[in-house]
Amino acid sequence: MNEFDEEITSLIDEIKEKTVKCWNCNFCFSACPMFQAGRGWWSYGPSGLTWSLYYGLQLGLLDKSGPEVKELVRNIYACTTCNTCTNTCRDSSASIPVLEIIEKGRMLLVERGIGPTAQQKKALESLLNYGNPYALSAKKRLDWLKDREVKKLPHQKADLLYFVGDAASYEPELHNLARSIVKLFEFFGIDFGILEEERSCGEVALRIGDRGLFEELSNQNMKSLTESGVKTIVTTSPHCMNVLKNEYDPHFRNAIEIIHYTEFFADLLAQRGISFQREFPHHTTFHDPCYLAKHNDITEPARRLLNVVPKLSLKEMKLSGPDSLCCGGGGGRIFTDVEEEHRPEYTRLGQALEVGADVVATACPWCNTMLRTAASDLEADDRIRVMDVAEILVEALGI
Amino acid sequence: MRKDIKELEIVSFLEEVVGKDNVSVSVFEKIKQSVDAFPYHVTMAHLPYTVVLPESTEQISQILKYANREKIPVFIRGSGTQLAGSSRPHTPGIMINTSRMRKYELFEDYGYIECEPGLHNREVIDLLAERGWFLPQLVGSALIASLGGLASNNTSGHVIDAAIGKVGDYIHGVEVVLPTGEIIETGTKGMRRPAGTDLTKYFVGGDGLLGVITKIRYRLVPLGKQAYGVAIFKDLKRIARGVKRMYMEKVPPPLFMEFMDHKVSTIAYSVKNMEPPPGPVIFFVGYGEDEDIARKKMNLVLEVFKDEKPVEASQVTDEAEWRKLWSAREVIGPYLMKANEGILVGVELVANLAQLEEAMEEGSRFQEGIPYLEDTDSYYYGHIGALTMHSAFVLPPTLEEEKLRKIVTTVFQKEKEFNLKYGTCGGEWGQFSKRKEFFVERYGDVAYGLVRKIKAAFDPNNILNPGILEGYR
Repeated sequence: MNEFDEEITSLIDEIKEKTVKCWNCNFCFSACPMFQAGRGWWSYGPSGLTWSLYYGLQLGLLDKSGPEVKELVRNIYACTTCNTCTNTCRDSSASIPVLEIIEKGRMLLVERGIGPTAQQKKALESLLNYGNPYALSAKKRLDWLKDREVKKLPHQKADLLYFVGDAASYEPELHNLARSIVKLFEFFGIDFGILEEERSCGEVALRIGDRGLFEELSNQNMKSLTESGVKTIVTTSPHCMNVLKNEYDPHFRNAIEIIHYTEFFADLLAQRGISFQREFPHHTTFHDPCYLAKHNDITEPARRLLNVVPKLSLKEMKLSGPDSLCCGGGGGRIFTDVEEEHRPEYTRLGQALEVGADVVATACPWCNTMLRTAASDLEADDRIRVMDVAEILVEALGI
Repeated sequence: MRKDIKELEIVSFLEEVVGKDNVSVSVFEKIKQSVDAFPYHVTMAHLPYTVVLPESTEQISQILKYANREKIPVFIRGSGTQLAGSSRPHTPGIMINTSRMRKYELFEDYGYIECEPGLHNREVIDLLAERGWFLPQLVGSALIASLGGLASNNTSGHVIDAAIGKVGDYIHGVEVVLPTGEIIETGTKGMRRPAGTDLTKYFVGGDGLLGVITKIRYRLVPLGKQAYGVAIFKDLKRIARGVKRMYMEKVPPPLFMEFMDHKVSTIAYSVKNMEPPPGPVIFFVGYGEDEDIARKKMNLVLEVFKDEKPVEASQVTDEAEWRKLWSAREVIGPYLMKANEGILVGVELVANLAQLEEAMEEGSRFQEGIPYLEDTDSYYYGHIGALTMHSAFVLPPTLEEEKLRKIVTTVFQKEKEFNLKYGTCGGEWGQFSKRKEFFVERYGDVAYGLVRKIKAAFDPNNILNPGILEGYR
């Protein structure tokens, strides 16, 4: 058996061994954003996906092309990888690693050449060719900086590296977020820099199931990040933070502190205090990004930051913290069209409006994009503004 | 070939009734809709022709009229949390899932809430609690268990029957589609329940044999206050004696009263990062209109157990501590599976009050004489306030199906003998799917024959949930 066959066999064994311990209690459906967004099909939800993989393998349905394969690809790539299923199973049932099985299934589909969706394949090709999923030139990566002077590592040196990430680098409507974080570093007098040639952290490739591409990207990143000699990496995106902190090579992640920007500035705030120039008189609600709250149990730093902003009135949605409702953008979904009856981002925006918020704050570029799109689609953008925590801080600081 | 044509015809008809998007012939959907929390693997020969998601009573009526005319089996299913296989199809047919029927209307001025069957137990508990009302039903699978299935089983889960009755006592009426397709309404929209014949009772607790429940009208009950107590003993005997004395001494029964043997309490406490207790544990909830009444009721129970020389017995005033304890018990089955990496098989042993001590001791030796289980750890816990004990075992998930079926059959057989001996019956998990043999032996052929006649009167072509009445095979 060659290495490739061994890898496939190992994936199949893991999927089967882990799935067969599930007793079909279906508790994992209770808060799954994908199931709630769908019509009510039970194959379109957490243990529906794991058992589809299991029986697909048992019945030999994944060896050929057919309606079953198409259906499985559609369903499995609709998963947002928010981790609610695994957390629910851990807290209330038999602790089946539901998301891990789903992601192993994605890897298997990619290995067999039957996944992901056509649009996601394009994102993967772009990652391979351009180092970002948007099919944009690497040269355009620093356009968001405009004329701002920031140290470029590794030629210049700094202890702290700001890892901007693909979305904040390339999505024009997220440039203000990246610039806001830079302004905060400057305001606090932090000696920091960015990578001269940053490339994707590879999270999208990993979530979609292309382990090989992820390893290629992560190896390049680990090399340049290690060469830069930084001690701390602060990320814009919880997705980048999660993958750098939990899924890069242990030698790398144990040697460098990797944190999300809300954690960094909340700690700084606790040490130094802060004096705001302006009031922010808005009913604000905070949407917890899944890769902070559900994958890493980080819920407090953003709230600590928001709570010190003058006149900001923080109103919690019914589903918040670790029980937050996913915006629907994770797991590679942002790169593919998913037809659903009740889109998660619409539901989430509705929940923000329900508590009377005129600002919904978040701390993730994709959550930001999803919620802004929802506000626009639902013609609610005159009633509610979607902002990142960093943007609120910058506005209140008057910088 | 003819079979395939028939299937296409069925699908085509259903698509006309509910729309294409609400009909599935996906093998993955069929499989997922054919299993529940019962430990057997899917039976491929029983997969439905198609799964359908209706949105209205009228759509279900059209489907049943068609199925009745064409004599096509129809199975009804909510969230598939059933532990005895009754949400599984027993033969190919049409699988109707109620997960799109999730509307409710709250009529506070009339004193009831009317719910569709696809709503989940926990969400209705929460939405009522927000407005100061109480749903007298809390099952272990509350997170996802659907109201339709719960009403068909008339199960109250953890709630102690003797405290406030079963959920059926609070259901003032239902809307039902008969197997022949007619829609009927039962009961009342008033505060007083009907005297004499009330068809509600045929459907609530009717095992899904006689009709499809499409609306359930629950009387609104004011939300009371709770006070919590816990007692730790060196042995189970004192727990049994305390419960018996509680009833004999006319102490108001608590809303919830659970016990865990030492093995189970050790796992439950550890899972919640609490110091494991030195022995079996009993814990209970006093329930009343206000905090004083709840505390007074809880203290009356506590005093009974203090007389039984516990290692420790006290009120639990820390809400967070109580939640930990309660949640550990609420989902102890999955925690046992996690600890043993296997699949749970359990029984429902019910004692009578007079012989509670004897029955509890006997239940603690349940696996004796059962091949395979004699060498397996057994776990003992349950709703002891309802004199109910669960003896549970965790089996390897890779156990051959034939061996698994043999064990499950033997275990159910022994459960039957236990409940026959004590003259009791199960209070959860429905009746016929799991306990057809019990029913026949306990109540006789005449009684079983009557049920068959009733079924035939409602469902002359035996199209609705066929197989349940014959018991799970």
